[in-house]
Order: sequence, then structure tokens, then C-alpha cells
Amino acid sequence: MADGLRLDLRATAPVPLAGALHVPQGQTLALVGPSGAGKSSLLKAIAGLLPSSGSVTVNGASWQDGAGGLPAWRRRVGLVMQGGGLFPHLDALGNVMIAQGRPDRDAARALLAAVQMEGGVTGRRPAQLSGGEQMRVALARALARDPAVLLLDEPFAAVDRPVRRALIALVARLRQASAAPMILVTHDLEEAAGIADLAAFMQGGDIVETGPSAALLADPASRLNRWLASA
Amino acid sequence: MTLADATALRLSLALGLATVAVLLPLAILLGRWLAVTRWRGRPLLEALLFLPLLLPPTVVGLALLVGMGPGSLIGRAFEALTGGRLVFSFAGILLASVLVNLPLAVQPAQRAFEGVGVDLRAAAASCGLSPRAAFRRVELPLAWPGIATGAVLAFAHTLGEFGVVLMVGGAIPGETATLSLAIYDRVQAFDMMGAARLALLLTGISVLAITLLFLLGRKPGSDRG
Repeated sequence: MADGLRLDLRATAPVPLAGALHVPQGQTLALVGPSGAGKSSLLKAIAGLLPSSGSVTVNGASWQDGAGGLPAWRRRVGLVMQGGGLFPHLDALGNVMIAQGRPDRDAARALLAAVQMEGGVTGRRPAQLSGGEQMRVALARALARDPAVLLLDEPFAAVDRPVRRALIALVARLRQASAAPMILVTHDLEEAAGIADLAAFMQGGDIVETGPSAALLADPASRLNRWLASA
Repeated sequence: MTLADATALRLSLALGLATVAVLLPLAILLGRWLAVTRWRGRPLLEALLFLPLLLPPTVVGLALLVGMGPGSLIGRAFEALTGGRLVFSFAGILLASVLVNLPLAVQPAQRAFEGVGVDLRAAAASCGLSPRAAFRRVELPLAWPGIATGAVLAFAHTLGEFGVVLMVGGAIPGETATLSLAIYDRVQAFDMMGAARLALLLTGISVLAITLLFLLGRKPGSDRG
């Protein structure tokens, strides 16, 4: 049942969390809100990296029902962390291969080529890569697991504007290539508006508003727009 | 170099290597556990681990002598298993050396595992690595330089250990009389040149061993997972 991602989660730490979301297969939800709203914590809770209670269902398969659920390593997520979260002792190719169930060098090279990382640069370690290159490798690594859900935590935050545009275009292309529901945490919805089908606004740990991103952005009375206007 | 000196040298090297061999797995497991545990008793355990570094070697030696003696639980268990005494034996000075060097090996390993950080552990889990695979493929390679530093410190400290080895081992030639004890014996016999030769030899071995181990510590393994 290709129903996408359904979740209804609550957590108490590091920030109180409460919210329900549905991201259909093939769609992207932009998760927006002020710093400390709990956006990253919600992604971690979905990935099983943060203790929470509630339910997470992916295409009809239950990842969590109550407290606990599947351990993080058994939840088939492609997670791009803030700053990339690359392993510093592995080169770019190694960082992609480590996420493959069965190491496949050619497939890893193809994934890196898809994010425009080819040639000698694949043999470099994260410390030798620029911020934009690190995010490209992190995106390739997130796809290496053939994820059922893609979770991107501010992938464009730590790079300058031209690189950000290139990364947004890249994510849009990857969006076409993968049917996995995607949640994209961003501070800048306008930049990500081209990718996001849906948007959710978080405040104080609660998901306070959800809907089609275009409709929310067009509605001057939406809480999201009021926050964007005040920011 | 006399035959007795060569025997003392062999014993020192054997003790140093055996200490590191026993300590390495202990330091890795204990250091990793201390790095991630939220157990309330952790500060007390860390203080207890540090104790052998703070107390005089004679106090540590006396405690071990009593704790490993023929009347002790450990001493009786050893005797039942092997038929021999634990104190004044190589096994005895090895056990003492492991206990004395535990903080030197565990501390750097613990700091190295702490340095891996929550984010990389989370990244490993999100890559589908089981806790065991994450430990083997991410944590251990990243913590290896710290672990190797602990091994270097423990080896060098064991080569130079004097008080505890003397108290627990009793300087029995061929069994517990290490090179540092042989130097002391030469000085007692007013053979200053002989003592200086052995001291130079000990220094040279220490420098060589430390250089080799640091080189090993700089090779964290394969580049690819």
C-alpha cells in the first residue's frame, strides 16, 4: 500500500513535541518554523533517533506503534543531517558505500555522479571537500539505502547563495528520481517552494498548520505567512 | 650485556606487551561504555579508576600484595586453577601491571569515544548500521588514535614500572625481575656504568616502541566501509 508516510508523534525531550503529518508517496513536505520549534527533533523522532511515543507508518508498514518501535538502524530512512554528518575517516565514495546494504562500488559511483561528484573528488575525505560538496555526498549517501522516507534537515543552510541554488535544483532532480516521501526542514520556504508540495508550520514543538505549500503561501491569514512577515 | 640483563630485558618486553594485550580490549570496552553511559555512579567509577595514578606505588603494591596473596579470594582461585601462587609470579606482576595501567589506557580511549559524538552515531544508525557494525566501522576507526595513545602510555609506563613490580613480584630472576629492577640492583652494587648501559637500553626501547605505536595510531584502517 503506497500510502506514503503517516505519523502522529509525541516526545518530551529535548523539546516537547506533538504533531501529526501525512506525506503521500512522491510528495515533499517543507517543515518550517522558528529556531527551537522542534523541526530537527521531529525528524530524529521519525528516524528513531529520539525517544517518542505515537505512531509512524510507511506505506502501510508500522515503524512505531506506541513507545519504541523499530530501532533507528532498521528504519529505512535517507537522512541528511545539518552539516552533512559525513564520516571523517572515509572518503566520499566510502561515505556512500557504508550506507549500502551490500557494498557496490559502481552503484555508489553512479549515485555520486547523480549529485555531480565525479573523478578524483570521490576519493577525498570530508575535510577536503567544500560545504556544498559535503552536502552532495550526504544526499548521495541518503539515497544509497534505497530509502522508504527521505528526511533532509536544513541541507541548504550552511552554504552560500549560488551553491544553495544548485543544491535546491539538485534536490528537485532527485525528487523526480525517488518516489519516497520527503520531509525538508528549511528556514526559507520561498527558496524551497519549487520543491515542496506541502508545508507544515511548527511552533513550540507543535505542528500548528499544514496544507498545500502554494495555498499556505498565498493565504495572508495563514500562521506560516504571519510568521514569515514578522521574521 | 650479561645473561641476567638479557633475561630482565626479555621479561620487561614480555610484561609490556602482555599488559597492552590484556589492556586493549578492556580499555576499548570500558572507555566506550564510560563515554556513552548515563549511569549515575560514573564519576565514582572514574575516580576509582584514577586511584592507582594518585597513590604511591608502595601503597598500591601493598594493596595488591594483600588482595592477591595466598589468603585472598583471587590468590586462592589462582592456586586452585594453576597450582602456583599469584604473588611473586609473572602472572601476578602482569595482573598488577594491568590494574596500575588501567587509567592510562582507559582515559584516552574514553575521550576518543566521546569525541565521536552523538551526530555521527546517529548518522551511522540512519545509514542502517547495527550498533555492532557502527562500533566496528565508525566508532573504532575514529577512536583508534586515542586508543593507540593509551596503549603507548601503558607500554612505556610498564617498562619503567618499579615500585608495584617490586612489591608484588619480589625481583625473582627470570620470573619477576624486570629491567628497571636490574638497574636498581646495579646501582645498589655500585656498578654505575652497568646501570647506565641498562638505562640507555630501556630509554632506547621506549622511544622505539612509542614511535612504532604512534605510527600504528595514525592508520585508522581502510578508507572505505
